Amino acid sequence: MLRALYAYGLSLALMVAVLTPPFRDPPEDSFPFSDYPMFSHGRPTPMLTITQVLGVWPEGVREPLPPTITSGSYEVMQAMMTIAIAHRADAAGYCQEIAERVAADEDYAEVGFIEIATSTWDTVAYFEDGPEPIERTVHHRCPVRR
Amino acid sequence: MSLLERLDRFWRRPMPATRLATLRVIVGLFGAIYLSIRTPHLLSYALDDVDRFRPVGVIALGGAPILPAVYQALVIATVVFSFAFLAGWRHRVLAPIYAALLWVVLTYSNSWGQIMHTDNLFLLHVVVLALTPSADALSMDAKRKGPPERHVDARYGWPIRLLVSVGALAYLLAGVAKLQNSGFDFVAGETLRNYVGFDNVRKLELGSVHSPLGAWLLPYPAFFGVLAWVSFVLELGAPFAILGRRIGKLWAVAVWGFHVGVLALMAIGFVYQLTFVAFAPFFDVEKLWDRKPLKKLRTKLGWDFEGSVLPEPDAADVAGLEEAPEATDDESDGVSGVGDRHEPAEAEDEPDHHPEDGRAG
Repeated sequence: MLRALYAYGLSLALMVAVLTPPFRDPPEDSFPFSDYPMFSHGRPTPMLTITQVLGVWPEGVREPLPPTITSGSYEVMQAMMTIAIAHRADAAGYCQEIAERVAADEDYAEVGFIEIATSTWDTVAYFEDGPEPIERTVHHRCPVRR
Repeated sequence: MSLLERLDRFWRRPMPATRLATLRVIVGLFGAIYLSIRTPHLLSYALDDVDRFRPVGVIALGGAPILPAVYQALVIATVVFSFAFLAGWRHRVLAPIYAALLWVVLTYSNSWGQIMHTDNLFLLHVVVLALTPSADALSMDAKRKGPPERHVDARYGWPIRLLVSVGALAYLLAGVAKLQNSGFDFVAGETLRNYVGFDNVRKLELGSVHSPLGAWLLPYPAFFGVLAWVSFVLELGAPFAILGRRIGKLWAVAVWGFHVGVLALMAIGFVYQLTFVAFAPFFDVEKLWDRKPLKKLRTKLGWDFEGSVLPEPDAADVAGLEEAPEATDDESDGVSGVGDRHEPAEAEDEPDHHPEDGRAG
């Protein structure tokens, strides 16, 4: 009897916990219980706008810096959130933090400046016509001092 | 037989201790390797930056970041305990501690602004295996205490039902979210194609790797329309995978294929799913030990259970049943068919019966 109670108690508790996030108000995306909202919202156009961190090379070439530099993490989504949060909280301080990491990394020995920018692309045209953004606003720019 | 009795027979169906134990070994091995490899990544969240801290789940109860040194110690302890879980050592005490540590560490790593959904199922499976007798066989505990009193028992069956159910329900929720948030636009429009383009450009512009295949296929929206339908049907059809074993196996293979597609088109790797560990509960995994290299390994480890992997359907071995069932070709493990022959209710669970019993699926 106790075994059956334990079996049903644990089973019900876990399944209710798994099933309830979408029925909360508002629906809750948490861990490990989630309403799994990723890729569920309508996306009728291919336009994308994100805030990114760019390294500026001497010829003026701009390239996005990797998550290990921008957030100290390997996760690209984590890096995206770190950039969004950090540049809103303290863009100058965050830019300086990135510049110091770049200065310490030989792979980026030629990078002279860091830019935090918000850019917009047509993601289908991106692969057909090239990666130039339709629009780009630079929020902050700081030098890399070595 | 009442509905509740039918439900009870379905949920607490006797299964072999070695099946549940094999699942512990598979999930435990995955955890030990995965956590060892990802230790530097997990340690990278030893931060004290309050501005970036966005606590979720159990971490939200604390409200503030954990001291970096304490978090680092928790990560190391989680890795250490993962090996105890794999070995089935002091399972009743150490396995729940491992599950709790894993819960805290993974939740903490998701508390920095972005919730990843790649580890949800791994954690839930560890929780189920840690709180159930999954070390009654194939473990250091079993070596010390001897084999379980009953090799085939209801207490080894319901945890497997639960492992299957929490996985399938998570996919159902993903389908429900699509219905809630975009209705049939997800399958009728170009939503999936746009998501693939969106995700690949986002990765490139954040300095990460993207999928060249996904980018190459973007000019063909009809292809993504078909994929959208397939994912929609798999997600909303997930509950059927709980109810029938054969359909469950097919569903598991199809969802694994779906994750391979996601990896190929979007460079998103759900490692727990891609390694097929997430879908192991749908299969008679204890039969793996009959394969030569594993047979040698279990002998070497002293995890011998000669004659218990495929037990003869013995009345004394099966809890709560009045008479011994006859084995059928399809149920050669002598377990799947337990109690079936006189109970039509089980047909829902086991549609792939031997034709002789008149209920061929």
